[in-house]
Amino acid sequence: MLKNLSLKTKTFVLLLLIVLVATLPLIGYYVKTARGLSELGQDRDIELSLNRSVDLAPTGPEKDAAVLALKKYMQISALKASILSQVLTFTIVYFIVVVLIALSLGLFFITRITRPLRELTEATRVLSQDDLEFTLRSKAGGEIGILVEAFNRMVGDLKTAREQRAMAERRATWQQVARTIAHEIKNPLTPIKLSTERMVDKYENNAKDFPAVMKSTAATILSEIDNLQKLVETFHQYAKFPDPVLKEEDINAVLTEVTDLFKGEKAEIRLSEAQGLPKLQLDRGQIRQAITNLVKNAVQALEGSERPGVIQVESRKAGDRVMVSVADNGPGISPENMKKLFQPYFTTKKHGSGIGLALTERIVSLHNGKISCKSEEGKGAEFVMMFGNSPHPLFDNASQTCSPSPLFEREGRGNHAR
Amino acid sequence: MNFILGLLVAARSLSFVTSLLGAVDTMNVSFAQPQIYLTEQRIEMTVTVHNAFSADLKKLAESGTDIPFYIYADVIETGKESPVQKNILESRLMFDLVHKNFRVKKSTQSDTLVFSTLDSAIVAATSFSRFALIAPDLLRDESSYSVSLTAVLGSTRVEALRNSALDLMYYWDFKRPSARTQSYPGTSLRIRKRSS
Repeated sequence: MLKNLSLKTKTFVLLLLIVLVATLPLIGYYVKTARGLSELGQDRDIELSLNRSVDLAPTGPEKDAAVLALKKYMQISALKASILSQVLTFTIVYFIVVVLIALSLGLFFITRITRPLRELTEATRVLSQDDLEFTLRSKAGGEIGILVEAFNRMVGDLKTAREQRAMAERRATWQQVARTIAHEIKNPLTPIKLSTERMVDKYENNAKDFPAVMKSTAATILSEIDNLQKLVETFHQYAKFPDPVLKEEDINAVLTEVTDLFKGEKAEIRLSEAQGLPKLQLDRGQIRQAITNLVKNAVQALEGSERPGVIQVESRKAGDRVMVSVADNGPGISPENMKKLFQPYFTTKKHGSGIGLALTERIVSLHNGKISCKSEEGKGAEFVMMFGNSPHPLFDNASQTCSPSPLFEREGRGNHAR
Repeated sequence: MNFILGLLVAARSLSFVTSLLGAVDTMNVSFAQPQIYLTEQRIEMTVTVHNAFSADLKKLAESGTDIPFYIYADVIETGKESPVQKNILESRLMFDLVHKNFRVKKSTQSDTLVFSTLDSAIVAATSFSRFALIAPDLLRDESSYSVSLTAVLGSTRVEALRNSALDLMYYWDFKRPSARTQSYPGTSLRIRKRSS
């Protein structure tokens, strides 16, 4: 039990014990003195003897002296109670004063000493929640002052490191985005250029098939412009993705809907739906899009595979949450690609936009869910999504912790590139 | 701030405890309802103080120590601060260790009263019967008057103490019991004189 007490309480209890130990002997001494005093004027024989002296003494100075002696003795007896009362009052008041002053002073100094430590503890707790926007303003000196200064320096270093890392990540992302966009724009430009050159050549040589070539070139140019428009639309869709409109939905119904779309594909799609799953707060359209992206990715991964492709779509209850997984027996994902899997505009496909998985991760995150991926060499890959009935994720802490990267670094195995 | 508050609380607690301890063996000393008598020559009053002697004070009285007792009876005209008439009534109670009796000497009586028991001596020492309060001539018809009463124990000599003076108010916790009669119109205090 003592372990759970704060440093302030422990020090205070120690101080109280010290004060008691220092004061109790003094109280004992006073009590002993009071007992001794209580004996005064209590002896009946002395009183009788003094009375007899008064009676027997002859009138004059001797009688006066006897009377005075008896009077003094009886006065002592009468005043004893008052003296004892005063001693008791003094003892108790002294005890209370000493204890109160000692404890007040103790509490004052303990509070001053432990305040920086308490602030440091609170700051560490805040730091553990990834909040670096503060500095300790303790005026403590000595070791605690050094500790506070070191802590502030550490927070500053962490902040700088985080900013540098974020900047580097942003730079890398934009480089990747620029590369992808350049690549995607360059792809249609080549056929446009070649077709146009061919058309110009035919025109200059007055070729007979010029009209046919011009028609074919125009078709090529229009087709590539369409492709470019689609590309721009895809990017625009990711950039302007709306917040989900949540309704109570049956996840199995969404899975059936999605798998039905891919029934004509070469790969076999197996659907395994758990019964009795709770209804989830979902935006049906967005979730359908997320699962469609995963199944579509699996279908594309299985293209060119030598063995028969199988895609397993499954729903399952996991505690108080619902798990949805999409697994395939394709070539899997390489560890280096695992790290960038959900990065926008990252793709390994010849004509991919790199938006699909990024969008899926974003949708899951907006639903307060979590997505993870594991892959093993030659055995394919599996994407697992976890959903639960929680408040809107934008206002929930869980959405902030839903970061796929560490999970992939931990769980990712094999070196398959997708 | 907390420290100062703590000290204030401590001081309050201390004063409370001290007042509790100081109240040990003190009694509720109070005046009985005073009586006013109107005669042709003067206005008289009878006052009695109850519970004036605690057990400790009785014991001190039994030791032969002189116990001086005073009552201040001031006639006050309504609306004025200074009294019209001041009266100081004094009594001294003392145990005679030679004759083993209690003696009470009062300012209102020339004789010394002698009692065999302390209780009857206390009654005599703490009550003053029909003493002259004020002459009716000093009162005005258009004014009202009240009587303010205050009881006090005096200092005495305690031979057993090195510093022999002892303020007996200690036994009353240094609180003076007081009382004040209702306000009487000057005419009502002079009725008897006019009717005669």
